[in-house]
Formats: sequence, C-alpha cells, structure tokens
Amino acid sequence: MKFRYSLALLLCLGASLLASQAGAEVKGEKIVWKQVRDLDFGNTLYLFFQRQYFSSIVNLTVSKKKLTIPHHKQESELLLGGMYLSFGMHRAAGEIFAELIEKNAPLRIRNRAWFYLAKIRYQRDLYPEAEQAMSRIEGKLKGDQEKERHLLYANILLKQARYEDADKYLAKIKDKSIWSLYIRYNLAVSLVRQGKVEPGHKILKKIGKISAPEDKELQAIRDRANLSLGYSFIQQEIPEQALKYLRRVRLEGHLSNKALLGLGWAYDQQQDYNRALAPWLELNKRNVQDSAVQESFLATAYALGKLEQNAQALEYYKTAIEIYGGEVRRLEDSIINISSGAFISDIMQTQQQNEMGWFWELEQAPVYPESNYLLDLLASHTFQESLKNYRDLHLLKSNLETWIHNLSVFDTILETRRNAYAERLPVIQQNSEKVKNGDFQKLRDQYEAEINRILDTDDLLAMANSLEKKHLKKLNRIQEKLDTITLHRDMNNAKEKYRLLSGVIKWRVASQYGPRSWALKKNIKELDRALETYQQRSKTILTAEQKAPLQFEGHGQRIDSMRTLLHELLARSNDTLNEQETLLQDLAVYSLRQQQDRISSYLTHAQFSVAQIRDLATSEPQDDEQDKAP
Amino acid sequence: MKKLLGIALSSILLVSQAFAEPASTADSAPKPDMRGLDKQIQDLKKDVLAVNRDLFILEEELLFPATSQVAIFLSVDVGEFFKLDSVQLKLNDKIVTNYLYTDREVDALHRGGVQRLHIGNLKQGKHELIATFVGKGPKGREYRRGSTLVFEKKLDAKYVELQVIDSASKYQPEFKVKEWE
Repeated sequence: MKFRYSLALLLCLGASLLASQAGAEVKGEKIVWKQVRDLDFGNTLYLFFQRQYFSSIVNLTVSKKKLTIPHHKQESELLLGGMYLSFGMHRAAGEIFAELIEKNAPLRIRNRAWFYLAKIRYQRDLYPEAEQAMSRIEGKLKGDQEKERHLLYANILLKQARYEDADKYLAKIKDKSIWSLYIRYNLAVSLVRQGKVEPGHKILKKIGKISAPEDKELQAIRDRANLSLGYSFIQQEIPEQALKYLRRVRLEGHLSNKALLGLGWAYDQQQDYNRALAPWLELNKRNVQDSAVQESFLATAYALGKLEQNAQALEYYKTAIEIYGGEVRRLEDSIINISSGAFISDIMQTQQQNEMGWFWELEQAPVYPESNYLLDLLASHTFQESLKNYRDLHLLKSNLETWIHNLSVFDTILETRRNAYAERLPVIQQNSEKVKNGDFQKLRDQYEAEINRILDTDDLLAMANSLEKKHLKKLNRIQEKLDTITLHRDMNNAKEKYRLLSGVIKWRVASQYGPRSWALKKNIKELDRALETYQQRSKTILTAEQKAPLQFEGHGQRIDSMRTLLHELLARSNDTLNEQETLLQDLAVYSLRQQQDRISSYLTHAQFSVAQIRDLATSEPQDDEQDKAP
Repeated sequence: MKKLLGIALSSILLVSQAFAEPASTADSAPKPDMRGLDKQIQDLKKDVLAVNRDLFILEEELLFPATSQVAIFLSVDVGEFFKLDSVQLKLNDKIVTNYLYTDREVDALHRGGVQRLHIGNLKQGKHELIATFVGKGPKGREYRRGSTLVFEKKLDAKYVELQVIDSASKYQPEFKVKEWE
C-alpha cells in the first residue's frame, strides 16, 4: 500500500530557503552552492544535501560556537531556520526569522523571512497572522518561490472562508501547477458545501476535463473532480448530470468503488432499479473493507425490494448483516490490538530509521486485517505529523543513549591522560629546572669553547671522526708495543707500516680540515636554534604543566554535568515518547470507532429491513385469510 | 433510504477533501492537547541539539586538540570529467582513510557540499599527505590520480582541502590541494 501525502512534495523548506541565497543557484530541481568560503559551512551543506537534518543542525551550531564560519554569517542563520523547519521545529525557526527581520537584514533576506513566518503561521492555523506576514513581503520573490507564495496566499484565503477572494486571486495568478489544481479543487468543494453550487461546479468541471494521458496525479485529481460533481448532482437530484460525470471516473482508479456506488444511486433516482443493480452487484464482489462495497450490500437489497423481489432482498439483507457483524467484530479486535501498542511499533519497523526530516512520509503501512480501514488516517495530516514526531523522538532517544555510552569513553581518555601526565611530570619538571638553571646553555658554551680551541690550535686530530679516532687509538697501542719489541728485535718494516698508516689517517683529517671546521661551526648554529626552540617550548610546556590539572578538572566537570543532563533528557524523551505513542493509538482507535459506528448503523438498518420484510410476509397471508372470511 | 444516501454523500465529500489537502476524518479527531505535546517535543529537540553541540565541542577538545589537530576536507567541482568512486589518504606513508562514496554523497559534493574526510592528530613539524582518487574519468574510463602535499603543522589546527576541479580547457579533471589558515 502506497501513500502519497501531496503537500509533502513541496520542496524541502530548507532547500528552498537556500535557493534564495547569493551563493546558490538552481540547476534543474537541485540547489547548488557555488561559493563556499568557509570549510565548516561547506561541511554543513554536505550533510544538509544528504537530508541529514539533525547532523547538519548540530554541525552548523558547533561551527557558529567555534566562530569558524565568518564569511557565511547571514546565510547560515537563514539556513539554520530552514533546517529547523525541516526538522519540525517551527518555534525555533520562527524565532530565527523574527530575529532576522528585527535586525533589518537586506530586503532579499527579510522577504524570505516574512514568507517563512507566514508559512509557519499557516501551519499553526494562525491564518490572519499568516496573511499579515504575507503582506510584509515587498516586490517579488525569486523563481519558484514566487509561485509558492501565491499558492500559500490562496490557501490562507481559503482557510478563512473567503472563497470569492480566493477564486478571484487564483484566476489572477493563472498558475497551472498541480498545487494550484488542489487549491482550486478545495475551493470548489468548499463552495458546494456552502451552497454556492454554480461557481463550485464551474471549477470542478474545468478540473474534470483536464487532459492527463500519462500523469497519474493529474488523473487522480480529475477523477476526484468528476466524482464530486457526480455526487453533488445526486444531492441535487439531477441524475442525468450525475451519470455523465460519474462515468468519467476511471474504472481502474482507486475511486472506482465510490463511482460505481454513485452510479447506482443515480439510476435509483431515475427509478431504474435494474440498472442500479449492475454497479452494486459488481461492488459486492470487491473487498468488503471498503466503505462503498459495504454500502453496496444494503443498496442491492434495497433495489431488489424495489423490484418486489423480497425473498432475494431478504437474502441480501441477511448477507449484509453477516458481513457487517463480522466487520464490527474485526474492528473491535483491531482496536484491542492497537491499544496494546503493537500497531505503532510495527509501523515504525516498516520505515527506514534515519534522519530524513519533516518531509519524510509513511510510504509503506504494515499489512494488517484492519489496514484498509486506516488508509485515510495514515494519509491524514494529523497522523503524519504525529508519526514524524514519534519517529524523531526515537531518533533523539537513540542519540542520547549513544552519547551516554560515549561519555564513559571520554572518562577513560581523561583518566589515561591524567596518568600519562603524572608519569611525564617528573621528567618535565627536571628539564624545566635545567632550562631555568641554564644547564643546557652551559653545556653549549663548553662545546663552543672546545671548538674554538680546536680551530685556534689547529688540533687536527680532534676533528677526526669516530672511525678515524678508533684507528688512531689502535695505532697508538701498536706504537707502544713496537717500542717494547724493538729492544729485542729489528722491527723496521713494522715501524714503516705504522708510520705509513698513521700518516694516511692524519693526512685524511688534515685534507678535510675545511669541510670539518665548517661542519663544527654549523653544529654550533644548529645547537643554538635547537636551544632556542627548546626554551620556547619549555615555556609552553611550563604553561601546559600549570594548566593541565585545571583542564583535567574542567573536562571532568563538563563530562559530569553532561552526563546528568543526558540522563535528564533521556527521561524526558522516554516520557514524551510514551505520550506520543498514546496519542497515535488514540487517533487510530478513534478512526476505527467512527467506522465501526458507520457499519453498526448499516447493521441496524439491515436488521430493521429484515424485520420489515418478515412483518410484511407474515401479515400478507393473514390479510388473505381475512379476505376469505365470511 | 435517503439517510443511507446521506451517509454516502458526506463520506465522499469528506474523503475528497482529504485527498485534495491533507485533512480528513482523522483531522477532525479529538486532539488531546496536541499543541502542548508538540511544544514539549520541540523544546526537547532544541535541548537535545544544544547538548549535542556541546558534546561535539568537548569531544573535539578531548580527542583532537587544536595544537595537534589536522583535518582533511574534500570538495568537488562540477564533476563533468570525473565521477568519484573512492579516495585513499596517506599521512606520512600511513593509510588513514579509505572512503567509498555512495551516489547520495557524490551528489552532495557536486552541489557544493564539502566533506570532512579525516580528522586526526599530528605533531608540529613537516608532514606528507598523499591522496589517491579513484573513479570514472572522461568517456567513462577508469581513472586513478594522486596528489601530494608536504605541509607544516604549527601550533594552530591545520585544515587541508582536496579539490577535484573540472578543467574545461583540458577536458580533464584536475586534483588540487589547498592549505587553509
């Protein structure tokens, strides 16, 4: 079963608000932002374009608090207002728009703000206030919003029962959109109800003639117009006209049952009961949960009675009684089932659990024996709004539970940091002490003095690298041994080798004097830089050392207060969730009770008719006998 | 039978009205302080959003303090010459992100959204970032391109934006890296 909640097809409010911004442009059906000057604003758009309204609101408010969107201040306010609307927060949105107006924002922004204030007021049933807000819009709005503005104004007039004004206004704006058709249709029905049949029919006839070879939505509204015309003519007892319009309703459309029922009543007005029976008998074969089908059993029996086929009529009344009795019991069972809470939780299970926003709609109803009886309810504005609230409350609840879990992770992080700090503190303090006492500087000065000595005294061997020093050390040991051995033996060859090797090393060091002395000087410079950086960092480390305990404490306190707040909010959301669930159940039960009452009245009517026929049957032979009596 | 007809008529008109505008028999149902409940829900939403804001700020302070924070963002221009499938990020030769895109995410990027692809911590000093983009290039060909940036992390938080731009003159996508102050 698919539901279509037509007004929800309006562009998302936030998106249409966005379209009015300087950096935005409309490409086809999509709004594209051309110039992002702050990354965090772009990130909000990224979430918003994916209809993650909850996340995008949080993202934007975090950026606002961190002051990271300096280049998009005004747009972000208007966008936030739109996102609040998309998340069903009319009040918060209203506050933002009112503030923008008060701040005397540029005309373009003020116009948008007035427009959306009017929209909010309209949704809240504040029609004169909505009209007043509309009157504050100066000049024209941008693109499609201008069209939407006109339609909203026509709706405001309609809601205030100013039908003539609405009629004139709609004629003036010459809008041909489906929305305009809906408004015209509503206007026509309202006029007919007010007894202003002629102007009402005029509008309905126009809608009933529209060409819609492919468009299912147009076909549906055309059927509706013809159906309403048909029933209106039945009410006026002009069956020829009624038949003309009822025959225009498509047989495969979902209004065909009602059209068939109406056709029967129109023939009834022509006292053509045989023809009336045809559509009603067809209806008898259809789903008995449909109100037109239910009524058709009674109507069939009634027509048979008119054709003086009382025996058959009696059978139909009996069938009707059986069906009505069964449906009344079925509805009673459904009411008990709904009151147990199963229905609402099953509805939620058929839906995607995401943050689709206020324009999310119930697409798929759970399949229940009573589902057919709840079609109107499920498509109704009140139920849809309540369901959205219910779904949002689930979202809030799960969000709060996730944060409560995450806070324990924060505790662990903080604890780990505290421990790490405690471990590092002695080393930090020791190094800080060294910096304070100038120990590092003293070491550096000693190093420089040694380098200066090497250079001043041309102490070449001091510039030998570690390998060379190792070799020299080895050669020194060899020399010592040679000196001892020479006393006993001739070691000239070995001495010559020693001389050669030590000469090679000394020559190598001497030949690299230039680069090596330059490297030593460079080392000093690098040491100076490192010392400078270390001294600067040690200041930061010292500050951090002083601040750290305070930060740990501050974060700890924040975590604790957040935890308390989260638990409070979770309790509130649980309470509200229960209240909302009760409200949804009450709405469903009320709807089923209404239908139960309707079927019960059919049942009473059928039972009464059966009694009448039986009375007639029992009284007729008595009359005959009386006639025969002398 | 007139009465029966009356029932039919009223139900038809009501149902008709219901479909033209979302108002039906259900809307005439008794509303047990729906406004009160609606206000309650709106107040709750406002409070939950506010606590989320504060918690996100706290989380960032705890996990990614500004002194070590590095955030990598990704933006896509028109996207005519390149359809993004995935991105891999390497920081100092270590893979930090492998991201596969859904159609909805790609659409959000094409419409001007900027994705925060990675947030992490780095020490002060020089670091190397390598981003590898995989997707469909001109004429639907498999396309794989990399961009490298060596950047300096200082005391403040570091933001880097990876940009996928259409080059109309070359009929090719271009991949740029921008450092934000």
